[in-house]
Amino acid sequence: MFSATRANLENDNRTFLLSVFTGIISRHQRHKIGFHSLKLTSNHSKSCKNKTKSLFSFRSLSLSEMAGQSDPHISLFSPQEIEFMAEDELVEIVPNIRMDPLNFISGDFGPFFPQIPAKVPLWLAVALKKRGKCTIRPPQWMSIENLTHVLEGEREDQGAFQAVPFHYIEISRLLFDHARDDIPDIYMVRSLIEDIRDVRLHKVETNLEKFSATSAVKISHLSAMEVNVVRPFVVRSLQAFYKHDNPVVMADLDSASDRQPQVRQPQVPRNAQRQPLKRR
Amino acid sequence: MENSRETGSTNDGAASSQNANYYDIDDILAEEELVPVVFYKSANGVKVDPTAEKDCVEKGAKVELPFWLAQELYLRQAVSLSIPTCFNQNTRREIQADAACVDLKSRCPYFYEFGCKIAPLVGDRTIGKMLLSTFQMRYKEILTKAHTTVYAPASKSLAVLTKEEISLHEAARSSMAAFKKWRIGGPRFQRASVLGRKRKPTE
Amino acid sequence: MSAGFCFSKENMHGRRACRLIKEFNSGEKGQLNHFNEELLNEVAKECSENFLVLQSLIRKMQEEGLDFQTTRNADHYGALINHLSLIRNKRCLMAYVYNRAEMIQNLAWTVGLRLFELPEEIQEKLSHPEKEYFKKHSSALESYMSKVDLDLNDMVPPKDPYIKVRVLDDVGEGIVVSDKAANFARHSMHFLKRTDAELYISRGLMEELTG
Repeated sequence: MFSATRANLENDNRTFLLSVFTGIISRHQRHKIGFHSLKLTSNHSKSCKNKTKSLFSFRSLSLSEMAGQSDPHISLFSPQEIEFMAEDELVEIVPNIRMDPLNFISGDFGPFFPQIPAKVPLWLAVALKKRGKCTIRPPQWMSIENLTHVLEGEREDQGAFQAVPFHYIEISRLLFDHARDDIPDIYMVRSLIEDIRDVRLHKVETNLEKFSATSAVKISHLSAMEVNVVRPFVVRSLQAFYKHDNPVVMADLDSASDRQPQVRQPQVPRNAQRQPLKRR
Repeated sequence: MENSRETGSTNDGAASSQNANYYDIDDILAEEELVPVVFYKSANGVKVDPTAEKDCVEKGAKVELPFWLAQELYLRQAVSLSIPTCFNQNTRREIQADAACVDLKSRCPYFYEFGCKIAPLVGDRTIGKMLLSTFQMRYKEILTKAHTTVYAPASKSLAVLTKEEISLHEAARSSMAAFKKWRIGGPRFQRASVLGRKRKPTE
Repeated sequence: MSAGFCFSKENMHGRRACRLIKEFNSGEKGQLNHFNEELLNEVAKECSENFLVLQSLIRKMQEEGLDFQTTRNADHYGALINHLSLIRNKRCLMAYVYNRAEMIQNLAWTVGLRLFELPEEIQEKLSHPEKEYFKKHSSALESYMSKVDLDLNDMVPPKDPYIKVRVLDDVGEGIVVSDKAANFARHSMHFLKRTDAELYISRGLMEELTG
């Protein structure tokens, strides 16, 4: 990680990562440690491809407090933070300079030779691109054929989501911002991705409307940004549904039951064993 | 922990689950909701009955007490409780008729939280069911409002929502707004939110 | 249903404490209100009154030769209600101070580590002990950050080491940021190190320019 500074392109990422590393994070970032460190410890980029994400597991509910917590943002990353995570995804660049290998904590990149493609993290690709040291090769999924196919799939199957890269929204935005000239048919590509994004977000909303009395939800193939947008609302709603659907929890929550023997015990319906993991 | 000592030592070792919310402002306010009670016993040296001439309350007095007091007295068989008006049959009928439009806020801003607290005491199982069905019926409306008011916080339609419903609405609205803002781009660094929105006039 | 009488008179048990909490809760979310010392003291006084009544009722029972552990007379219930009120008042006081302390800590993390760096309208809202608390928390934080040699106040994940800013307010003369001394006149624009600019932006003295 420290050798990153040697590259002179280094993005200040050092401090940010370090603060994650030491586990001491400013207060508003505290709840995010889990996710950040995941990125550092696991092979995050590989896990993104076509992998079913179990998004709102009950575990994530129990991490936050029961319904009624006063901070609705508790489980929300900022979009900037999601983007930061996406910047670790690898992309292919074609350098026009010669440069020694860079040794980062996430791996070694380079050496770089003019016109010889190399894989680097997106943040490095963008930094090099900004300085005119490379061109970026757009990822394969950003082809018009593939995007058209995905969009059709999204529209045809209202019940399910197409498998898309976990960070497709962030990656495409970064490339549109910084590597316009490297993307063939950029207008078409951009509008396809926007359509896909809108169709999917609408689908998420439709999905949410169907919630009722459920404690856990599983939706496959949602992307990082999509999950993040709905996370605070979903977690809170599920907590509420769970709380009101489980008289046992309600009794646990209340201090009344353990007080005095004469108190009427809350009635427990027959089916009231905890069933936190109902699936819809 | 600090809290368990606070309540535990002074309070028959009860109120164990209260500790988690000891400092929670919403929990405190939810327990301020009033419950109609009838005193079984009289009590000296208290100011709970505004009609009493002295600082005391007579056996048989009908008073409305905040939940935090009513609960403890009920558990010690000093009072009997009746169901607060926000959970009575009238309200329930209205909710059944058109849950989304009922003004729950004016009835009880802590409708769900208060309901959960009072239900085990009055031994009315239908309250729990009613809370769930009310939430189910209002949930969709909250969601729809949240996504249509991304840029316009606190509109008129929010006036009927309870505290928890507003938090839910706000959770949905603010994350969507943050996403849209990111999509458009612009400054990444912002004035600290704790300072409030308005800027000191400088001109 | 006859609703009985409303529990609303100001001198009723716990009314003032409730007002204190409601006041904390009013206004825009996440914004500090003025520290209400007067009301706080009134609640504390009510606690003492509760305690005095409680004591005198127990003493009375003892004088009557009653076992106050088991006797359930009007004095017992009076003592109980005063006891419960005292606990309740205490909870409200604690919650008021605690939640404010949380917000004050937050100021150190998001706005600045020096009291004079906080906008005046915020400073005015703090009580004297709260100001001390802020200073001590800040200096603990500062010495910690200097020990681990890290700036933990990052607001946003970093991108470029330099950003463009515009000065919105009088920053003051003779400000030296790490690599240069500049004249930060109002409305002037500068290219600053992100870490230098961040503090001024969070205090609302500068804004980031993009594009």
